[in-house]
Amino acid sequence: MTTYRAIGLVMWRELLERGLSKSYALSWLFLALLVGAGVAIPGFFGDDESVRTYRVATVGAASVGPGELARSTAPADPGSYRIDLTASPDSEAAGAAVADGSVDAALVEGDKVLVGKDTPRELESALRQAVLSYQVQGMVATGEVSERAVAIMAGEGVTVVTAEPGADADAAAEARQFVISQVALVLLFMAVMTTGSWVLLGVTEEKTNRVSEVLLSSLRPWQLLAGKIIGVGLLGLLQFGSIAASLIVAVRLVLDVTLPRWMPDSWSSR
Amino acid sequence: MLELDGLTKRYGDVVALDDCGFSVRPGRIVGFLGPNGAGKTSAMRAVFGLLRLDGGTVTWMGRSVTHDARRRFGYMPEMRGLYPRMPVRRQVIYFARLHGLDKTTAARAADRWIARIGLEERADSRVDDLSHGNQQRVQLVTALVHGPELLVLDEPFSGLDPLGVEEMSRILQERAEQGSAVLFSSHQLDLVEHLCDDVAIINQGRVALSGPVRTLKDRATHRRVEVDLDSWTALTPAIPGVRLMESRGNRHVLRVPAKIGMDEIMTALSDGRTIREFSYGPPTLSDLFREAVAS
Repeated sequence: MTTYRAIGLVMWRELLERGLSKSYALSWLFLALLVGAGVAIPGFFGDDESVRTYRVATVGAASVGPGELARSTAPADPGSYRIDLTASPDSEAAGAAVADGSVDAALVEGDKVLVGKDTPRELESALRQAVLSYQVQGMVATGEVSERAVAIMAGEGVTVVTAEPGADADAAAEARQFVISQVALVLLFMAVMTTGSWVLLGVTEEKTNRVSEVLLSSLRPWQLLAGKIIGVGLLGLLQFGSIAASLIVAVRLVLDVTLPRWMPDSWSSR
Repeated sequence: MLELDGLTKRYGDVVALDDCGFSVRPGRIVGFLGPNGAGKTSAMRAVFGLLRLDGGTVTWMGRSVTHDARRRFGYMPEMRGLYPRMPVRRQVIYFARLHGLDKTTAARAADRWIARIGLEERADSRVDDLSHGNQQRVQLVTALVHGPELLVLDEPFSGLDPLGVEEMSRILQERAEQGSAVLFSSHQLDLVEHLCDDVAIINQGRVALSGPVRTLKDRATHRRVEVDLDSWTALTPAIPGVRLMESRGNRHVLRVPAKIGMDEIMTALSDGRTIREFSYGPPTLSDLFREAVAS
């Protein structure tokens, strides 16, 4: 009997006996559940469409214009923010409100932004932009500055092109990609650990119930081990491959996620 | 012919084999006897290279035992050596193929042997669903299915009912008649005496006695006398060398030096007593075993 045949026989037995065992089916089920969870959980995270609301106090009539501009230009997209305006009698009251957190920031007399230590950076930036824009709009109205100059200042003079496809993916999609990659990593780790433990268990079992004595009377030890590792490895590959394939299908069908570039474009959900 | 020569194996201070040597010829059944821990299993494992020897050689037909040669051997370990969850038929086919049979021949041989041991109905049952005796039968079949030239069986009769023992004995005899060399260990001395052509008795890792059963019995320095008397008075002082081995009521077993003839011992026994039953013959294998181990 050739070495290949000896290894093949051991491999075939592993494929047949272990492949049809309950433990193999159960581990498959467990991995499928894990993949299900891996697909579902990012969905939960990604579905967070709540919009943050920032409260901004305005002091004086001059602050109403910039305030309205900031409110109207707030993105208010899912996962973004909107601005609510409230009038404040004077700058002291507005400062106190910012300090105690009853408002997030304040606009004073149209040209001053009051912020506290907890004021979000995006709000501060938005208010600063609104004040400047409002002032520039006034200068355009009085002819001090041309509209073209304002447009250029606003960014029309330059075009920014993203060199990395997919780099403009939104934060939610990135979070989903991260979670899916973590699930894939866990799957890979489990596949390696599980198949390794199958080989170990198989050898221990054969040693314990003395089958190894009978086997080694007709096989060399390395032939037995090689057949076992190849057989178990194939089962592991089959299991992991099928689970990975279902993960890709699930991602494509369920989630809005860009797949890695080495995968064909048709696999991607966008 | 299988020859074990000068086998030596130590486990620390424990000597498992100590210059152990004997042979098994094709067509002969050899009983391998010895007390527990005498080294029987170690010697048998050495035949299959399952034991790294400290010294000595194992040869088959005058050559060192190679892996290819071992594939033509059949081995049945003392403890069960089967996959518990694998069905009987699939298991027997698997072992047959490991010994070099092709798929069709292996399947045919498996079916024939499974039918022979009366397990056709259980061919698709898992091994651990079978009784102890039936598992033992399956174990024997895995050692026999490829028609081995040498059969080495460690305690093949343990756990078998009398019918099982009879069937297994018949199978071993058939194998020997077909030219296989058969070596098996057992503590059932009566069975060994009945079944074996030769014996090897091992004690503390060393072969204490070996050879054809008939020759060993004939060459013994004493004879066994069994007698049933109507009364018993001390006989041993009257005839020097005679030893009382056992007594049950008026039935007695005596160990008599071979130089004392049957007439002489009979005359001595009948002195003032009536002999109701008398037998005079060579010692049994049990007697030889006891003496070999005691010495």
